[in-house]
Amino acid sequence: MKFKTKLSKVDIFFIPIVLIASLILSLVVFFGNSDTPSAVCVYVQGKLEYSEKLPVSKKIYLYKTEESAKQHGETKWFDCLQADMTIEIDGRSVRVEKEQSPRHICSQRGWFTTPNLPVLCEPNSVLVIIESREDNDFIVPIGVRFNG
Amino acid sequence: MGSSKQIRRITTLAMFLALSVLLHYLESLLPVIVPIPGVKLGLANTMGLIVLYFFNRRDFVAIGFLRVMLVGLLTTGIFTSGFFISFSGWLLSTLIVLILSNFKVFSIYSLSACSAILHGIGQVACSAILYSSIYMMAYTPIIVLSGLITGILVAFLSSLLIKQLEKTKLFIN
Repeated sequence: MKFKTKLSKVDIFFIPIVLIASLILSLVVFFGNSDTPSAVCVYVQGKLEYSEKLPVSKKIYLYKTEESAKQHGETKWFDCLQADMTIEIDGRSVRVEKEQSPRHICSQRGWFTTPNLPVLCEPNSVLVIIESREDNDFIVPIGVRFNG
Repeated sequence: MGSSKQIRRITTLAMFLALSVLLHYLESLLPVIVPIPGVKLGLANTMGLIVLYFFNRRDFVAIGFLRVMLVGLLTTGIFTSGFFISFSGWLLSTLIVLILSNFKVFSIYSLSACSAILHGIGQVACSAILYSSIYMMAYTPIIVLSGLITGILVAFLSSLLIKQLEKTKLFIN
């Protein structure tokens, strides 16, 4: 089925409107976020596995195998991970320090501080988010070792 | 349709399917410019647009579906969260192309941009459902922005390829 391969009048009208609207909304999401960060939450396969009140300086270790977890004195491991994973919290900043994935999108994101903007680590099924809510249920941290 | 024409048609479509999988693989080798899930160039979509232009909607859907399945088999695995995210992106983008292609006012640029935008939105929405996190939807504006830019680039590339392929008379039955 043939369709126009050159810019049409609709394109000239549609493209700038979408461009300007998305640009403004992107700026609002990334720079207009006034929420106060209250906690870092780590979800594995949609289940909250760890949360910690901010500010704090810690590293969270998620282990893939039972052997690896036991080696480090931990009791939980996650089969869905591609390899062991490290999440670092430094004050109010968080980053995925080490992970195994085809393109390393998660760790390449680097440090992030914006609340309610999750970092999704696929195919590890891990979601890290700085939440701004005040009513965090703080569960027993898993795979956590304090710096130093 | 004669059997030789049918064979030629199937062979050509198979070639476009193979090329789309190859382009998907080659794109994965490029360095990540924006480290946000769903933000990508989508070079494989050039093959989809060419198939839609020279063949029909049914072939466009079939080639797209087979590409998602093959890429799933080769990379994330079938029925994993990564596969469902990819599949939902394809589903939404295909639906919008099928709807918009009914209206002659939309050019390849609108089709490609809307396809890329809906692909990203589909992926983000699926992630939000899979991870029960409505916050994933906060990425929508950046997905729309990147989809618009990459969609226009893909449309430009596709229009150049269509012009060259028309000169070859390859698709004249």
